[in-house]
Amino acid sequence: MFRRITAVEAAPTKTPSPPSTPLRYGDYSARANIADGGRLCVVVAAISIALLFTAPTARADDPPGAKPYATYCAACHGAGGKGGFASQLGSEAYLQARDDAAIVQSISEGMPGKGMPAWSKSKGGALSDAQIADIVAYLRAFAPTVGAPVAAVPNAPVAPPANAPTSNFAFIQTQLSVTQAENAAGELVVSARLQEYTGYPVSGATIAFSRATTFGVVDLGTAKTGANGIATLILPEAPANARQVDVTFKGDKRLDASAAKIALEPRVDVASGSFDANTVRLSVEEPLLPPEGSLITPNPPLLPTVLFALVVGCIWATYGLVISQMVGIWKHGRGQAWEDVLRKKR
Amino acid sequence: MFRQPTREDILFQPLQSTGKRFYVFVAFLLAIIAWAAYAYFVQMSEGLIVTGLRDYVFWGIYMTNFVFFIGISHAGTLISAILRVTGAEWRRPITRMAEAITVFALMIGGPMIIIDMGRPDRLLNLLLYGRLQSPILWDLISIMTYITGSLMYLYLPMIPDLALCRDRLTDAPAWKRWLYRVLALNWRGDAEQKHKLERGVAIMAVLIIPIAVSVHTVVSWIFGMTLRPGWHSTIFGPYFVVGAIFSGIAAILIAMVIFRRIYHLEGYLTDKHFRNLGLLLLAMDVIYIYFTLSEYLTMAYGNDVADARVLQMLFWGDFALVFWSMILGGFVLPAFMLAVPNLVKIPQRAPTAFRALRPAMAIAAVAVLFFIGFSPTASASADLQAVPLFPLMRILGILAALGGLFWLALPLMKAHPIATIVTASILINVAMWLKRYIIIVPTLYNPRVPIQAVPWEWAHYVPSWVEWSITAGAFAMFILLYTLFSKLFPVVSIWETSEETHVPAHAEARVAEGGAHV
Repeated sequence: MFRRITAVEAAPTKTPSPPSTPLRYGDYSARANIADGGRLCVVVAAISIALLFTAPTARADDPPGAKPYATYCAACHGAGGKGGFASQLGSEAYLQARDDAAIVQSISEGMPGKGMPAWSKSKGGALSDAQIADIVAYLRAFAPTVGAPVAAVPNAPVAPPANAPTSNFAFIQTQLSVTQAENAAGELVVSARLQEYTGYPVSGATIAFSRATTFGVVDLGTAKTGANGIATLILPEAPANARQVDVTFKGDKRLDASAAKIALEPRVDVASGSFDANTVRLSVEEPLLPPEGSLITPNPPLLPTVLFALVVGCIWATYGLVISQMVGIWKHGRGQAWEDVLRKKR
Repeated sequence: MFRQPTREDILFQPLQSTGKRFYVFVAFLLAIIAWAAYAYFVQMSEGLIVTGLRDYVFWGIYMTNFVFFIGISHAGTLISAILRVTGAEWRRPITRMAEAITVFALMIGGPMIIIDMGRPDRLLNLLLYGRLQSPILWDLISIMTYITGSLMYLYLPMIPDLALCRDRLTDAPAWKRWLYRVLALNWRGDAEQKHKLERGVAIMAVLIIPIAVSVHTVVSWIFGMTLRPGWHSTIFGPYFVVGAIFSGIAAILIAMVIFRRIYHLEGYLTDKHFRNLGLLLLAMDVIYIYFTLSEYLTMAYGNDVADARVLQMLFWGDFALVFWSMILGGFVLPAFMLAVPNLVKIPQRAPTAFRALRPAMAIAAVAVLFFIGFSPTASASADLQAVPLFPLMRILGILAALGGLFWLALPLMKAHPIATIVTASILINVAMWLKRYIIIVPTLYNPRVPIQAVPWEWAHYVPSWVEWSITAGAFAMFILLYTLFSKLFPVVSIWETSEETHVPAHAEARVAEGGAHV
């Protein structure tokens, strides 16, 4: 597939190779500021290739997705996918770069941070899965794409069904590998190396680090790969127990997604590369709450308790004073004439 | 013996005669309460699974009711105590109905906590193993203190009126006579008793103000002491107190207009009372809007990750419709309703063209509201930052339509000032209920570690029929208690509304009557 090769060539030659900056967990200022210019070139290359190979395929009738599109999508994405406030969904560039599953995901789960809400009913949106599939089919009708293999084969009988998976489009297989080490400060450094199937390192790709825990997946942060294809994450602590860190690359317009995981060992000696099972320690001491000095204590602290009792006691004592006034009223009026009045009347 | 109808006769009227409508009304309320009791029975036998409450959203409309009723309870104490301490004379006819709201709202609000519990018997653990470090125990102590104090504060100024009931309502059923006799505490109104009474009332009036403030602060601390996004805020204490006074005044106004209509109290509850309380309500409304702005601005400016999630849900997400209805319809609109009719002058006779076009213009405004506000196309733009223009136009459209409607309704509001104030009060109380819901539920949707990979209904809260039924029952119970109170005791303080010179004269008259019976 020469298209794929073109893309591969475009990437390494035009992508700048920034230095690999390690990401410190929780330290935003340390995040690598990496230019994304190279990726634009890749996109442009992909679009131009796509333009070369696409031939208009007639679509006879309006798919059932036309109506939900007009109702829910057109406000931002424009009538007929022409674009507006948001992406031009009808463009070939958009449609070529994504398979149906990806578009379905964008619609149903939204794009957090980009203003695209989650639309599927399961996420609280307005659209059923069937409607989303209809909309995807409708979008597919704008640009007769459906992947290079079909378009490239001259005798393709018909375009495949609109919702058929088209993920075989020109994705380059990638590989992630993870290693761990300890730096001079005693911190644990997790390094993820992303490479293409040819072994060529991928630079500028976003790698996500996460950790599966009993209460869900904790996002540890993301880092971009440097010229050597390595993204690093510094964990503030070297865990005392072996824990698993998941490393994922979501894939992009050119590269396929990949994932890897590593079980963090208590300690790895950098110099020898050997694992020292006997040394189990935290490199950074976790700050614990002071046992005293706040109200989070096993037993009520004396001073606040006394003050509290004093305040509440004063209030109730004042109630007592008021009640004594009532008793006074009652005592003072005892044996008065009106009682005789009532008794006689009865 | 024929007597000229006196002021007491008007105020005793509800206590002496009871119409058919009263029994129908009470039966209706009892039916709702019975249904709520059945709902609670279902909840007790099936467990909290019959409610919409789950592990994540563990507080729902029960807690909303709790905070709401505790808030309403500030009506009486604060208003009547503050007005009493400052010597505002116009307060006299409204203090008792306000104080009664306090007592009954507390009686309904407190038990909502127990209803919220899956195992109410474990409330005992709070007494047996309670930890003084826990705001829950603070809450228990402060509410018990408050309900005791407000009962005394309701009862003390009622003693002379109870004596009057004892002396006048001699043809009442025996149990009523007994009740009045016991509660009147041998009152005969001499200098010594008056001195003691005034002393007691003065102490309670001063004492109840800090207690009322502290109670709602402690209620707010149940939220504020946690590290939850949207709750962990130092502003919550005063914010809740102001909200409580705000909704309390609105509640008094509603009660006032109902009693005025049903018990013919026009001579006591005059336009002046509505106007004064309406202005107080307006001031509290503006203060509350300020607090609301302050709270959300602080959260939005800090933009802490979890706070931002809560705000996103409130402003544009799941709760946006409730949130904006509350802000616009419950806080902003009432402020205009309370302020503008006092400020503008409108011509007696509007131009004919204007009058002819008025219905058309109203329909047009409603149509604009409907199409801009609720059309699905419009709701697609969920994020203001991503698409700045469209929501802005939409918001401006909604505001313009609302403004137009307000302008059209202005002559009506001008013509019916009391109805306007009471409508604003109702809007405010609905909004304050929603506000408590808005405080509780969105935060529970957003724990610090986001809810992930759980079934939809675990992460969302939809009140079940059980919860709605018990809520309806709670409101019915409140109205029932209040109604029965008004049938048993004069809702307007007789001795306090008497002229200064009237009291001794009245005492003489009573002595004379007593002598006649002898």
